[in-house]
Amino acid sequence: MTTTRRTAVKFIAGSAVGVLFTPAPWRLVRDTALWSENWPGIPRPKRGPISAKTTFCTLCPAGCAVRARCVGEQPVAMAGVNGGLCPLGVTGHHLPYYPGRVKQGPVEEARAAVAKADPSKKVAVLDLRPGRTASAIYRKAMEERGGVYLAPPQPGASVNLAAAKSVVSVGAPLLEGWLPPAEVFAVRDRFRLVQIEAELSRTAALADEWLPQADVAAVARRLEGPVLVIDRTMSAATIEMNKALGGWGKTVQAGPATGAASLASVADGSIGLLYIDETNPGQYIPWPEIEPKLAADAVTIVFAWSREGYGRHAKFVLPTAVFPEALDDLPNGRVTTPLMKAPVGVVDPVEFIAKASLADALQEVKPKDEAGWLTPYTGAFDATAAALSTKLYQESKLLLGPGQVAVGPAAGLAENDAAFLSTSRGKLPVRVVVDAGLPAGKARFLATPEVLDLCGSEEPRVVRA
Amino acid sequence: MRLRGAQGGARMKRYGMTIDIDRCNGCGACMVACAVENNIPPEIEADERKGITPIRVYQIDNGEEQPNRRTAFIPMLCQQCGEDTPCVHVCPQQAVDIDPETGIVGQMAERCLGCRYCMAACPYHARYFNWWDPKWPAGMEASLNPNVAPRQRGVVEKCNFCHGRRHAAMEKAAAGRKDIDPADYVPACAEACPSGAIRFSDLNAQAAPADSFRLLEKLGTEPKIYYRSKKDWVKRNG
Repeated sequence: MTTTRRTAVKFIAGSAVGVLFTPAPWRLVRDTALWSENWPGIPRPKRGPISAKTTFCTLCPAGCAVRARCVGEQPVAMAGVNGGLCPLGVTGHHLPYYPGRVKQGPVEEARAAVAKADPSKKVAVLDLRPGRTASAIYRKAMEERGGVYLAPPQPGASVNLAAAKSVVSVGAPLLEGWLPPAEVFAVRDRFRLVQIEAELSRTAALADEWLPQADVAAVARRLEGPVLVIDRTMSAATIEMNKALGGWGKTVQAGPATGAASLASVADGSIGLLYIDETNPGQYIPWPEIEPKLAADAVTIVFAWSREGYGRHAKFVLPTAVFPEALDDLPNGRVTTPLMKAPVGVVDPVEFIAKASLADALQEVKPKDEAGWLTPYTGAFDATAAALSTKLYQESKLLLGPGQVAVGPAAGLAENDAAFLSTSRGKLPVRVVVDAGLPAGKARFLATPEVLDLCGSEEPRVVRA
Repeated sequence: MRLRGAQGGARMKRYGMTIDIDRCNGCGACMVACAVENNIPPEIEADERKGITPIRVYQIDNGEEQPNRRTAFIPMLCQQCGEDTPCVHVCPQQAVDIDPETGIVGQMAERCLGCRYCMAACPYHARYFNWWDPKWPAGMEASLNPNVAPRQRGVVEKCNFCHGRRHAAMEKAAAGRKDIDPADYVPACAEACPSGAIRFSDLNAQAAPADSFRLLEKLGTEPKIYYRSKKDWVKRNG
C-alpha cells in the first residue's frame, strides 16, 4: 500500500472524529480546569496550627470583644464574642495591609522641630479618642507643661436601653452604629422604637413607628414608660426632657468626662506645637477650625497610620500601629492586646509626646464597664479603609462610597450625574446617587475628612456640575 | 432529580437558614465576612455586575412615595434548592451537586469550565462569575483563610454554606467520634450578623418558623432559605 496525500488526509480527519468518541478530550478539558485552579500564580494560604486569640476592637469607641482565628501568629478571621461584628470589625485584621498605610516617617526631623518650637507659644495635644489611659497621660503632661489638652466634643450622656420600655429617637441612628450594634439588637425586642426624622433612614425603616415630623414631648407622653428620648449628640435639651420624664439615673446618666478644653477657648495664633493623636480616629474636627489657632510658624505632628486625615495638613506624619498591632485601651476600660507585631519604624505617640510608657500605665487599668450603660459614639472609623468594603458601595449599593452623594428625587439630578458638594469654603466633585427616601433639600454623604473640612457645621448644597 | 438522603434519616442533615428581614439593617457585615471567609479578593474594578458577592443585601421598597414609602433589606444568597435544583441539572461538568447528607448545593471550582449555564438557570441570580485573577494588596495574602482555596478566574462562584467551616467541624467531630456540634458549624454570615437576623440550623432538627416564607415558592425548587417579616408588603414582594 502506498501512502498518498489522500490517505494522509483521511487518517488525520478520521483521527480527529474518532478522538471525540474517546475520553481523551474530556479528560484533557477537566485536567486543564484542575491545573488552572492550581497553577503557581494563585496565592497559597499559609498553613499551620490554628488557634484563637481574644481582644477588644479599637476601631470605634464601642470596643466589641473579638475572637481572632489565627494560623500561627497571623489572624485570618475575626468574629464577635458576644454576637456579631460590624463590617469594619470583621476585616480588622486586613488593616495592617491597607495600601495607603504610613510605615515610615521623619521621626528625627520631628524631634528636631519640637526642640526648635517657639517656647513662648503653647503646646497642645488633640486626642481624637479621649477617655483612654493615653488620654490621661496626655492631659497630665499638658498640665505640667502649661499646654492645652483638646478633644472633639463627646455625647452628653450614656443610655441604658435595657431599662427602657419605649425609645423616642430624634434622628439618632440607633440601629445603624450609634451604639454597639450587637448590644442594641440583644435588647431590641424589649422596647418600642419611635423614630422622628424627615429622612427614611435605616433606623426609621426598622423602627416600630416612623414619624417624619412630630412633637417629641407629646410622643414621649403617649408611650409606655420608662421612656428614653435620644438624639444624635445627646444634647442638653434631650437630657432635660429625660429628666422631666423621670429617666435620669434609670435610662440616662451623665457621660464620661474627658477633662479636655474646648477648641473655642483657645486663643487664635497661640499654639506653637500641636500634636494630633489619630491612631484611633474618633470624631474629626474640621481643619479650618483648627488652623486659626496655630501660630504662623507652628509645628504640627500627626500620629497616624494613614495620611488621609490630618496627615494632609501636617508637615510631620509619624507612623503608628493599627488596631490588631496596637496595645491600647478604650474609654470603657477594656484593654486591647496586640494580635500581631507592628512593623519596624512605628512610633508610640504616648512615648513621643509625654515620654511615658503606656504599657506600664495600662497595668493599672481597671474595667470601668457598668452593666447596661452604653455611651453613644458620634465619630468612628471610615469604613472604606477596609479593602473589602468595595463590596458595600461598589459591588452593591448598601453604603455610599468616597466621592458619592445621595439626594432625593426632588433635587432634579439623575443617577451617576456629575455634581459638586458646595459650601462657602469651596466645592468638591461628587457623583450622584438618587435615594427616594431623602426629602427635598437633604443630602447624604460619606463623612470623610476631606468632606468635613469642606463643610464644618455648614449644610452643603449639591449643585450640578 | 429526587434528593434521597436529605429527605430524612436519623443522621441526615438538612442545613438551612432563617433570615428575619425585620432585623436586617443592611450593614453588610455578612457580605464582608463571607468575602473574608471564602478568600474573595477585593477587586478595584468590580462593579454590581462583575463583583463576587455570594451573599448580597438588596434594599427593597413598597413602591410608594413619601411619607408612605417603606424600605427593608433582604440578604440574598444561594437558596440551596432541595428539589429539581436548576443549576445541578444544567451543569455539563457535574461541577454542581447536592450533598445527600446535608442538602448543601456545592460548587466545585476545579471542575467548572465557566460556561455559566448555571447562572442562566438560577432563578434567584445567586451565582457569580469570577472575572478576575485572585490578587490581594501587598502582604494581605498572609491573612487568607487556610480552609478555602482561592479560585482562578473563569469559574462560577456561589454560597456553599462555608464548606471550609463544615470540614473543620467534621474533623473535630471525627476526632471525638461524635456528630457535628451545631456550635462548631456556623457560616461566616450568620456568625457576623450583628443584629442576629441570620440564623443557621439543621432544618431536620429545628424546623423553620411557621410564619416564614420562601422566595419564588411557586417554582417548586424547595429552597432551604426561609425569610420572616411581620410586614405584609415585604411578604408580598417575597
